[in-house]
Amino acid sequence: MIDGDGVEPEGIIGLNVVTRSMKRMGRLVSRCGISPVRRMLRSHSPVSQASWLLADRVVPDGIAHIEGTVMKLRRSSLAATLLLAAIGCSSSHSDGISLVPQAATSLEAASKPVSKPSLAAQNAARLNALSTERLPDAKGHRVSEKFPDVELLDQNGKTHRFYEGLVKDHPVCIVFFYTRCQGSCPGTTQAMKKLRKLLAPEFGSEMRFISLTLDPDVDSSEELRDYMQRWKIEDSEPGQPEWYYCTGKYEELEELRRSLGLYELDPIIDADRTQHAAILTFGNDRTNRWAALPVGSDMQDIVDTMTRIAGNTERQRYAGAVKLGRTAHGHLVAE
Amino acid sequence: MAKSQKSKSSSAVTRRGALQVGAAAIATSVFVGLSPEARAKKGRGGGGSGSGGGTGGGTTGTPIRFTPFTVDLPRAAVKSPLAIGTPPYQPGAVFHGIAPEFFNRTLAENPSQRYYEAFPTKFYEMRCQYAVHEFIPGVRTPVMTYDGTVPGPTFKARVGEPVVIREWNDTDRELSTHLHGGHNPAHGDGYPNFYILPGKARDYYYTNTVPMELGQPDFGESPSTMWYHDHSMDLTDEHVVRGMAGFFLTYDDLELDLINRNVLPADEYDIPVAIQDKRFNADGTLWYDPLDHNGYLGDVMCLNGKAQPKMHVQRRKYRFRFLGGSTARFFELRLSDGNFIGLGMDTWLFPQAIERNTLLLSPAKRADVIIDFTNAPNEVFLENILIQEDGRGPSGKLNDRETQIPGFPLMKFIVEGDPQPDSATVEVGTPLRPHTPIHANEIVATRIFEFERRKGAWQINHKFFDPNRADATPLLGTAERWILRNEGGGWWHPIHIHLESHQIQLVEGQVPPLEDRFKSDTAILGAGTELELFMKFRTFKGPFVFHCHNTAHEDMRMMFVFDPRTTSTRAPTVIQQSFP
Repeated sequence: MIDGDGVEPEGIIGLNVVTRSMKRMGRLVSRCGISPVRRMLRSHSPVSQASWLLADRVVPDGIAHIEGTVMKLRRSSLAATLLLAAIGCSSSHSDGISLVPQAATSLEAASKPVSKPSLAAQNAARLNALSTERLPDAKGHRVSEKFPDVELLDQNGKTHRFYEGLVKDHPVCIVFFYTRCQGSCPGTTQAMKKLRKLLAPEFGSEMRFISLTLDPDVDSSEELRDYMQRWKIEDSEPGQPEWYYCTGKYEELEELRRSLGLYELDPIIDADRTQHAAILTFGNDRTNRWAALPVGSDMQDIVDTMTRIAGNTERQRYAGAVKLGRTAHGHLVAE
Repeated sequence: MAKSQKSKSSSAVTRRGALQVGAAAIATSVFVGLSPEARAKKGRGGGGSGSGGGTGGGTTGTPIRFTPFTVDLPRAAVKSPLAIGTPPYQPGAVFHGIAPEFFNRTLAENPSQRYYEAFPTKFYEMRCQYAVHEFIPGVRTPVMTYDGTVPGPTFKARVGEPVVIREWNDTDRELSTHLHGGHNPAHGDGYPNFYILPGKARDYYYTNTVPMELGQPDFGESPSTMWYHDHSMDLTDEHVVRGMAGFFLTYDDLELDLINRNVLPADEYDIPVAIQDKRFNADGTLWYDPLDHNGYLGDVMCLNGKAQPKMHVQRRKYRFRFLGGSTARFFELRLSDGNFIGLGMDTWLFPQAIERNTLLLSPAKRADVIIDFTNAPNEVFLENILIQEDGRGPSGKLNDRETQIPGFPLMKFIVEGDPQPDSATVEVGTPLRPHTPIHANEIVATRIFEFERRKGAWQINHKFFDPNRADATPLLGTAERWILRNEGGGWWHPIHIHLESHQIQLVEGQVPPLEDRFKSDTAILGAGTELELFMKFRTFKGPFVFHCHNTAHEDMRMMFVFDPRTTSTRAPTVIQQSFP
């Protein structure tokens, strides 16, 4: 890892690749054994001949003329030049200062080949570049090793081991709440109901929603069952994530809560149930990817992030992340 | 006054029954990283204390012992370009393309035609890949890297020399590389969801130009010490902890002149040093918990990827670029013998060299300094004197930090040979880079950003981060005043704003310490404090982000978007462009 003198000669000198002789001269200089930095300074002289011999780049005419110098241009194609001219890049701003506000189309025009497919076609191609193969199981340490495998009681009085029964090898979304909460929980419950529908196409019933109580003394199975009925939440909806409302022993739930990072370092705030975290914790144990988001974030952002983090295939993860371009109204391209 | 290691009590058995009470006992009874002999000799507070080795939130620390100061401080290799001038590949012909500014120089305000030498573009290729690295001697640790090394390769370039780096993602996680301190197009600035997807590539175009001011290049903005690291949404903390960081150094005519005139040391006497804390499992893998949102604290102090290294130095001046490369730990560096000569803060040189006794480094900050070993004793230690117990930040207040002297030894300099009094002429007061301050009468807008914690989540101005929403739309070519307020709760936030330097005007209503009065890119917002800064927005259209650089907080979306525009626009609004 230790390089000889800490400086890479060719990188610093900024050789002009104009003629072969200049290149040779540069190599000679770099072999002289002089301090590379001092070598660099020797080449620091007013440029007599500049070259933009860059194979595939079209340089607008405005840049071409440096006072007293002749620039060699290689134009990749006449069509490309005309295209650039058409979008106003031929610059009369030879001082290089002003910014040319770009038309929306120039973004794609500048970076794509000349005979360009439509935006929709490009986006379809980008989507198809994402594999639909189920990504392999993660190897090595898993984040879930830190979760205590405590026994939980769900809304139907059925027991589950938190890890072995609910989390293992599944994508999950976990939240802490309590039925008497007047603060963030109503909003969280609403949001999760929406999410359940929005995530159904990608995850179906493979994903589990797990709502864990902060108040097991009050929140028995029956209370949880009542809460679900009040909110019109079914255990199972066809093709949608299963939703488990769980209670358990207070100490074990506390330990679980801490292992999921949903605690405050300030013990006073942590002990105050009304200030509990309004965070969605989600992940996919099989692929060992986990993250957490404030539940008040934009709903589409939550959906995109959950699919990206917990997705089982590249297409699932990144479909939302590859869309190019903007609509005529300036909004980002929607599905 | 060494503080005993705190450990969170979590007595129940984990599912796998891993490291338990026994391990906790080991951690408290044995100082990790400081051999008993060294401890007896130096009488230092050490690994178990909060200053060097306290960990936040875990039940144990690293259960691996090693003898410190046995491995030499490495220097990351300087990256060679694939080609200069003629592209070895078609720029932009990859899945994620290249910045449009590459094809239209006027957008980049690249005045190569008049103000700079017309440097041909340097073309690089870099591969983001998994690798195995030894932090602790003899222990192989899987890591995430740039080009297989920790730190990644060092880039060196001239100011005015355009650079294209084709970055391939050979891992299975989405990435986005940010050149911290750089003035760059939005396509390649590390916007969190402008990914490099697994198996794909993005061409990062760095113009290496400075902004223009009244028709002239503002060479006061010439960068010296930048660093690059991953910045992908929700995953930044893990990727940086696992190894994705490296240096990017640029030199302009002024700095080269200082070197040529032997004012500043150079070449083998100019060393970038990344300081990072790590924590390991018994099997040598990195301990990391993506669900710990407070901030990652480790107890093994690694410099340039080696735990507590040593360095043989001559009796002369050396230039060090120290980087706070941790994701949550703050460092305050001190020498066991002597002071530093401060050359610069974050990315930029000072107007003149100043004396500095200690160097406060938040995550992401850099201190560019001279250490003069001419009259040093045979052994000099670089120490961390700052006490930090958990991811929230150091103990104490910003202006009244809890420190311990002597501190935790990070590395040992073994000083050899005869004194070389003429090694470099820089001393306190030597002029470096002239600084033209931003004046109050240049300010066209004032914005206030309040950072708040609510129910485990971070908000700025009562809003959550949205990558599609521009929260500020400064007019390109203007200067603004930003007031940053941190509501408290013991949380420290080093705030980093992309695109340009900022000038810290006031911290808690007072003029900041001398080293913070010029240019910075990361401002420490201590718990319950307020600061005011001036900043210009030039050259490149947005979107860009600003955020807390405790990357665990950043991943919990403690971030906002500013989207510099060519026309006056009201915010909030949709971002003007996107480069997925």
